[in-house]
Amino acid sequence: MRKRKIREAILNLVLCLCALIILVPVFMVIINSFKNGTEAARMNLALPTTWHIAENYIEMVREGGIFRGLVNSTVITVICVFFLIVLCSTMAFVLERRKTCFSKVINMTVIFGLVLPLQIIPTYFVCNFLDLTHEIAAVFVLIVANMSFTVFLYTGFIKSIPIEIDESAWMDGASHTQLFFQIIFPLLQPVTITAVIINFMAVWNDFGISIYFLNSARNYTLPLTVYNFFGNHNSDWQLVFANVVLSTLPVAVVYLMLQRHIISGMTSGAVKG
Amino acid sequence: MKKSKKWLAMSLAFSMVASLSGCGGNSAASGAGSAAAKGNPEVKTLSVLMYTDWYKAGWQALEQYINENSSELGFKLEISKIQGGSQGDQVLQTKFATNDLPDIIQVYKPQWVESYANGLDKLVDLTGLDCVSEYDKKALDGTFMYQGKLYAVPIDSVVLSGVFYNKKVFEAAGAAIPGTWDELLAVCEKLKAKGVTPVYYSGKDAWSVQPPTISGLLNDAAEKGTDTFGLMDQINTNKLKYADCTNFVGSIERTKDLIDLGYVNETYLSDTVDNAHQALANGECAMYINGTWCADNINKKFPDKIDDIGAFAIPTPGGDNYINMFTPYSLALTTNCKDAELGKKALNFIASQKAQQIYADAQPGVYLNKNVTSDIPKATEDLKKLMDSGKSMTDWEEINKYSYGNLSEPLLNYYTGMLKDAKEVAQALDTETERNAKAQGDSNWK
Amino acid sequence: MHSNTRKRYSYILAIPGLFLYILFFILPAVGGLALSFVKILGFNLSSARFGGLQNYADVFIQPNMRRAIVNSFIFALITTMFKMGIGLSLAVPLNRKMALTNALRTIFFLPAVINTVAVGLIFSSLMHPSNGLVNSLLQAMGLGILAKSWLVDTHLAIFSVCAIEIWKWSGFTMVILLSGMQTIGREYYEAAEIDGAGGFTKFKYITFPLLLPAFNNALILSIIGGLKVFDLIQATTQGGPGSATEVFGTLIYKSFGAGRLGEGCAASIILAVVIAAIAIPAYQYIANREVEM
Repeated sequence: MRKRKIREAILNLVLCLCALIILVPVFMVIINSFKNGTEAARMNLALPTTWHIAENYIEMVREGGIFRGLVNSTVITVICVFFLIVLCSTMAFVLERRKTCFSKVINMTVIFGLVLPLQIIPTYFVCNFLDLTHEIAAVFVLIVANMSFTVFLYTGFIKSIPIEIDESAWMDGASHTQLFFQIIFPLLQPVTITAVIINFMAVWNDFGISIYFLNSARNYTLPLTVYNFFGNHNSDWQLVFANVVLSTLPVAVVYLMLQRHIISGMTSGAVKG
Repeated sequence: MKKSKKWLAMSLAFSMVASLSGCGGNSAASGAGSAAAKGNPEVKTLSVLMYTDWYKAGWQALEQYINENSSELGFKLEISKIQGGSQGDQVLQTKFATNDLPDIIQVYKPQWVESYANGLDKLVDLTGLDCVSEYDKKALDGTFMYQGKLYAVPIDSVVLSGVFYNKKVFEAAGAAIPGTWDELLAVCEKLKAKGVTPVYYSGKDAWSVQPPTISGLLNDAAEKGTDTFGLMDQINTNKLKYADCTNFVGSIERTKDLIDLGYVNETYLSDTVDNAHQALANGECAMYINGTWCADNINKKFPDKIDDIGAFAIPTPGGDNYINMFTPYSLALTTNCKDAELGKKALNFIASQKAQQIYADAQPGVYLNKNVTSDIPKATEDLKKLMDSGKSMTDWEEINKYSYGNLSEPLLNYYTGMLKDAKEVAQALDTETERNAKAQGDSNWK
Repeated sequence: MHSNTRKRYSYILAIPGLFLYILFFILPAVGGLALSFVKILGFNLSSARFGGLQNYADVFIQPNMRRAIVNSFIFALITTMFKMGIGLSLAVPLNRKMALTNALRTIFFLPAVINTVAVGLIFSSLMHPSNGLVNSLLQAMGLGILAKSWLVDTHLAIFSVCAIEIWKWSGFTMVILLSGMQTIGREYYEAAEIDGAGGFTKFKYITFPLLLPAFNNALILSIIGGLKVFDLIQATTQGGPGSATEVFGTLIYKSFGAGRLGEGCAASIILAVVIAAIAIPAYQYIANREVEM
């Protein structure tokens, strides 16, 4: 018993040391967002000689149109994640369960999206041809860009749900929508939470697609505002770091809120025993 | 029942998307509404697009002025910004290709639109604007005035590039401004003996290794009895290769010599442009070769040190030293602008003395408008004198067709030993030019 | 039975998603494929003319092609090994309830949420040869001899970039593996404990085999991500110094940037084929070893 405790303690110590490796760079970002311009440009770990917390953040928010970006990012990310979950879980379910040749081919095609880099320029031509407004085009393209991955994630998980569950529900007279949304979807909770977190992150932090579609004064997203503070010829590092802290915070909060639910999925794991 | 519920949820979500775009529409409408409230229904909003780097104090002040006085001017501006660099260039190229353009667009220059975006026909000819009388015809010719048409008006200041130096450090080491390369080496030796880094390179920002190498190309142009326009004409049409520009190759080699002789900061590959400005201002290094961005940034971040900074032309072996000049950016009207007359009126105002003065007051620099006065840093003044005496040439990169932004990579490969000699750097530039020209189907390369 | 299955898994559910996918992915992909066979002036579609395989040939004669291929494979191999190894060694202890479990899980995932541009800035500064933290620490520990020019030494830079990728994404792998572990029923462990199995035995005979599907997913994602890498390289070294850390992704980017649209499309199709040729057999190989639950 004592031996076990010692082992536990050593394990904890090792993990905490690993955590330190993660935290040092994060600390650097935060501490530099509190310094004045000259000190921040040195980008080291030293504590600031004079603290400029409120000053930096207020200046950053004032200059960068942060509030607009925050609203835009939130709206776009929430819509994209919602659709990704609904569309991809259903797609994965149907494609995985119908074990026909045709469905397998379609499934492969969707998964192939993981491999092919997004053809952004042809995509732009398509959106332009369809005469979509930039915001709607961005939402669609962001959804599609993350679709392959999400379907891939769901497919793997759905495989592990016994088909008997479907069969008994079907016997009880459930329709196919009922079967999915009332029986299967709740069982997918752990993977759904994982998918929400990952897609939230991917959409929120996206640069490659956003720069094409979300570049007007009205619709830019929060992470893009970092470019207001650094450019080719000069940069305001304290504001860059403050901006990074602010634009990372929402994703971190979402992860913090959701991560415990990955664990509560444990019970659903037991269902299929 | 359940089914309809699902579709309801779906359609609800789609309407959310629609409302998102609706939001955007609303805010534009409310903008127009507030103008109407002022009792002037004639005020229209013109959309402007530029790179984020280009929106600085000058634009900020001008935008504020225009939008506060919109009822008198008859127009307002709504400025959109995208990040610069090659990704931003790609976005602009795509926008030109799909005709998805704002009313007014800020670009490098009309030649860029022609060579890189194939969209000269999407810019409106501005010939006949009143403001043109406030500019030297020579200053507009070849860039803004191109193929007989006025494609754009200048915005922002001229950027001159040369060697920026810290006067106090020079004084302490008893060094004078070098006029030839050998004198520069002697100065470096003196400075090094004093324990100061003689020359600062900032290789982490790859573009910034290019300016030191340019002096040779300017000499090549002068030797051929022309300027960079003439030289680039030959290169753009495959009549001349970079590798045959002997002065150019020589100047590349000399920038490496400085490294080998230990005159350059040891960690030059990891240091940034910002580090360079800071080191120069604080006297940790004596010289930095770059554009007047350097003086502007020091002026902003270390205002008490700006008077210590001066500038001179990069010394060459023959002592015939030129400085490099980047023309201001171009503000052009696109064919997408529904009210072309209003667009012209807006550009005429922006390029006029009044607006340019507002811009210059917020962001001092060398402006092309003859009636604008600006309180520029001493270093910029030094370079402006050289320009006024005719010792400047337009930057080669802006007017070359096929190798924009491609010098820094082979240059760094040369510094780090992946390329053996300076000639290979020039050859790499030739290869890249050939590839791009062939991809564009240029008949001069076959 | 067959028609029953068909009804039970009606395509109606999948159609909205497939519709979007076809419109915004398949169509542009076909467009990209078409563009890879044409010569095109700038981005002007009306100037397009058939160019056969010229674009594909152009991809291979690029001066940095060899280096890019080598670097891409080094990057994919090293990062996959370490991300999987570290991810697994973090997931196993953190699958238990301990005082710090929740806090540690959050911390390890943190790097994944920081955007790449910021990560680039952070590590350029930490790995600065003279005043970066890494070298300062080494010097403080008397290991000054190990201090290196991490991101600018042409031989070392690609490995340093690998280290940054590992720092950023190991926690992410951990989360995928953790969510996989949630599907393993407690009863397996209980049975094993009755048989007197120790920690390692349990891992070898229960956790790992049953984790294989999740492990496989994470592995494939890591291989694909490694071969496709672009963002991180662009943010830390831009493929430099010079072209020392050039990878396939940055080459494609440069082709587009120079206006060589057809060549860029051809290169991205080559990349997709290469990745598929590696990822699919790897996936099949492991999938065949998965145990049915």
